[in-house]
Amino acid sequence: MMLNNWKGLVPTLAVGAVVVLGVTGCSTGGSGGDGGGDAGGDTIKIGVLATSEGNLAFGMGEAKAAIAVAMEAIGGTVDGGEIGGKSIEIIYAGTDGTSGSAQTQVKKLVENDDVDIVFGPVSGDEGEAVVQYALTVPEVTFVNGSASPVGMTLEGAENFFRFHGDSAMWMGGLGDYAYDEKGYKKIYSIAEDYSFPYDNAGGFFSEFCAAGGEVNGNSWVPVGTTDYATIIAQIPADTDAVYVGLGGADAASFLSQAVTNGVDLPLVGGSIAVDTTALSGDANIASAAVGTITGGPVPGAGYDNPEWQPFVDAYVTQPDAFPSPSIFSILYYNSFQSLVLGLQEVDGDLSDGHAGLRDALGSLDWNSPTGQISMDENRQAIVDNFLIEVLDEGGTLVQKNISEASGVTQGTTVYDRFEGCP
Amino acid sequence: MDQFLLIALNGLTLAAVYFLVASGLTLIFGLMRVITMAHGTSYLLGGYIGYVIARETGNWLLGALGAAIAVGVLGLIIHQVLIRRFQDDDMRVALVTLGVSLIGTDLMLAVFGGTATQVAIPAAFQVGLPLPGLGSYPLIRLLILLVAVLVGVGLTLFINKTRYGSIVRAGVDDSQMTSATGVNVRVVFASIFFLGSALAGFAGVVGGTLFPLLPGQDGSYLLFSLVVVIVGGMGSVPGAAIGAALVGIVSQFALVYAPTYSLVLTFALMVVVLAIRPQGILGRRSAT
Amino acid sequence: MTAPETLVTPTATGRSRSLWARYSWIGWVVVLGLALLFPYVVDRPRFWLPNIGVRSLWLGIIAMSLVFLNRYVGLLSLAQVTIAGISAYGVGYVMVTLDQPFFIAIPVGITAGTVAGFLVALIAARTKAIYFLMITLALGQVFYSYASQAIEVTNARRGLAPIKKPDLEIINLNDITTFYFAALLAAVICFLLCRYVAASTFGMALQGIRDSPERMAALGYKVNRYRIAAITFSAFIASIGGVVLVFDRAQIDPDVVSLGSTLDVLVVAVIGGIGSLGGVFIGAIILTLLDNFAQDFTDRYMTLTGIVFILVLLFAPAGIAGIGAQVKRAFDRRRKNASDPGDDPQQEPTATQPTGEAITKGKQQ
Repeated sequence: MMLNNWKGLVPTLAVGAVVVLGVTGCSTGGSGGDGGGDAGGDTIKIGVLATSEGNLAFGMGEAKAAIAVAMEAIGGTVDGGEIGGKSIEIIYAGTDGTSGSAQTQVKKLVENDDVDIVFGPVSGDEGEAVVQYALTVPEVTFVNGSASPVGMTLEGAENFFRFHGDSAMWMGGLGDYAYDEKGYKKIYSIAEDYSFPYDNAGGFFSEFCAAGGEVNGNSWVPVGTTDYATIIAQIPADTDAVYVGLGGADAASFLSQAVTNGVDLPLVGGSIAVDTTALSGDANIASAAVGTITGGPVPGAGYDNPEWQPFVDAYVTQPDAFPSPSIFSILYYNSFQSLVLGLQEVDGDLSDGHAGLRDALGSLDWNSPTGQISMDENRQAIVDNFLIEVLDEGGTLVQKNISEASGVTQGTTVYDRFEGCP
Repeated sequence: MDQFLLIALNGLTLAAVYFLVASGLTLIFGLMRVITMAHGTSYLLGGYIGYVIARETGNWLLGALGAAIAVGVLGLIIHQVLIRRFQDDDMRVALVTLGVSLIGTDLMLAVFGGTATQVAIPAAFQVGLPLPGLGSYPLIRLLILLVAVLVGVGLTLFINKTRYGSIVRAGVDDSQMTSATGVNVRVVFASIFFLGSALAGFAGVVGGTLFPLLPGQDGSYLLFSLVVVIVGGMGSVPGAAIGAALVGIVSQFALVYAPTYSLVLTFALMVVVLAIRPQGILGRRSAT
Repeated sequence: MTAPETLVTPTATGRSRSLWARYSWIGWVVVLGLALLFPYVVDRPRFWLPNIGVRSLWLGIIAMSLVFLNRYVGLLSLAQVTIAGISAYGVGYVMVTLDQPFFIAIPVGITAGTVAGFLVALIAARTKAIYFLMITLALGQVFYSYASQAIEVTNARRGLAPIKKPDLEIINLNDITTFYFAALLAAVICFLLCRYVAASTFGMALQGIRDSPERMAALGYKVNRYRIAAITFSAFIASIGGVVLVFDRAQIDPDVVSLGSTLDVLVVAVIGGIGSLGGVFIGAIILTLLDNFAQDFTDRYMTLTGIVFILVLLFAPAGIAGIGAQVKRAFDRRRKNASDPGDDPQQEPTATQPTGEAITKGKQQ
């Protein structure tokens, strides 16, 4: 039995009125409390977007670990500190990795928490939404977290900075290596069917094909595909290697089924196929993963940059840290440290619509734990990229650093689903 | 031809997992005419429990058994606390169990995290078995198919041949009449709810051996089991088997011939069946 | 629970109804007044208007279409978000891919959503309520998978962007306050439309069919056609919600039609009161507030939502809106007992109605 037409309507409205009053009352209360970041001028508010729900829920922990490492180095904490006499306040907003959630939270940070700088987000879907939003609030400065779609820095947002490579750049150098050093002539591609793998695989295959390689088939599978038995059966007999443009669970799934289905071809991994996060889920994937070469912004074991080890040491002391930094903590650290350097250069001066800070960020050039980071005219970083091979060292999988491709620049091609070579 | 057979066999072995999950759902619906939307949650929770037990004890069977019992007991508690009092109100049961799944999803994320895990099996099972005409085929998939067939046959025999099964069937037809004959229908309801949940938990361990366990799988497996029981006909165990087989085979063929739309095609199967036979392939007319 | 309840009500509660009817407009004026004042009383309109105001409005409109179906047809549909999403994709496709202006895009979007609702109706209208729930859930996922993959139409996961709000010279919807009022207008129109349809002969026939399809069929009503028409109408309402949604978000991607979004709208409807067309907006405001602020005090926001959801179902099945009615009933009863105990035996059963079955049971056919 439902509410009847008229009875209960007024009480309904009364409750509604109370809620609305509560809302407005609540908001006025809020304004008294935080006083506004710009107005005071002595506090710089940084709003951090990171994933706290969904499959990337560990993103928030990684972001906090990274930020804590950067802030503790200058005597601060994960919640703030001081730069150039200005106090830094860091506010965290959790998302679930979707664009809608990112839109809600970034608006909350900017409009309600009144942040001066937005730092984040994690996923590509979020990143594209945040860039669109950045275009509408030119007075706020945005520093990207780990979102890697190629197009993000091509939207013309003057207030948006990315201090790491895009997903095509993450494959920089791997195509040549696979063709020249490994001698793979024909590669079969299995990749998830969305924008990240398009860019990632596009980056790899454009280089591989230019070197003379051939793509003898593409399987674009929906994200979340868990059964690869049939896909594996599609791989032609004369294939030299299989490109695995899968991430997270899909990658773990593929690898474990590659074991049970007896795939003995070498693998070429996309940037997130054999990340720490995929390997730490203790599926029995060793025999498939060993020998895989991959490229990405995460250096493997044996990387000799003197900046690297201090970062790792500081990272592992953080609560919730993985045994070694994941792609997310590394990118968040490099990006946040870049922001800290920029703020230090201008002594925390945000006057004139952040003009000084933006100039400083746009011309930054520093030696990060993962190599030199400098900026191009699109406020996109020029970075080092790493080629890695997965080795079995006494029963544990180790990602061994093969080489670095230094000074990798953005290719500015936004890839789409392709058949054969891109 | 080999290719065709191989895909079909892959479809059937995938269907085995779908059947194990859906059989619990269809069993509960068959007796109580309610749908539990927390069924996917039971699947994932079972998988996680099985994973933890198997990791600690190194014994897969113990993991499967523990998961089935734990999830079954949890299902029983949910039934007693949340569902029993408005068991006649199918919509409210659906919504309350949906609420349970919201909570379950969130808590499992808090406990087990967002990374994928898989239930470990002895390496001896991770081998290929030579099959005539197909070459080597993963042994584990064949074993899972065998388990599903055994469970399916067992359930069918249980319902059709045992005294308890006849009580269950009588309870479906007329619970008042059945209780008038001295049977405690409430106990029957509760035990079926236990069994249905336990099956989902067991399916989680089986599925979690073949595929990864991670947040989001609860939603997917709820959807797949709903599609399976809608296609096969709700309340029918053989129907669930047919539905699972169709869904599994269609999804595998779609993955080869139309990978982009493989999920769409899998669900489209349901639309086609509904258009031709709204009650599902083996469903009874009264169900619509 | 019994068939003729809703038909009986107007006479049974004649006295109290006239009382409420006399004063209900005051409540409406208050709520509408608050809604109109909202942009001027909040301290940070650029946060409150989009994040709470506009979002509550489109969530509410979509949830209202769900409530309409549940209340007047007795079907609980989980495809309403999908339909709104199809409408939003229609707008996005016309504006982004075809580069046409909004006055073509909006009708195309609404038509697309409404036609989609009609197709859902053709597939699902013959089924029983619980089946309808499952089928609409699954159909929603069909579209989600399609939207995630179909590069040519939906641009897959990247989605369609930017979808710019129209600027009509005099009325510039890019101004957030103006846009809020436009969304408010859409919500009010949808609400009045639902009320109008429910009170029409068509609406009466629907309620008759919901309560006793056999009898209505015997009277010569084409039961299925009525149901299909009602589902299509509710799809039309959801489509309007989709248009507001797409301009609010300025982009459309598959997340809009994901399972999570579907559950959001269901939570809104249930918490607000699944029998009350107006209550959905309370539910929507609660959800958006939780969404924005819950993580300030808890990491387990979904658990909190789930617990509230279950508690509402267990103890206040008519939702927050129904709590008002529950309080009023308790009040009435006390007053009645005080003045003339034992009077009016018919009052009691009708007075207890709203708690009993806010969620309409499907017992058609």
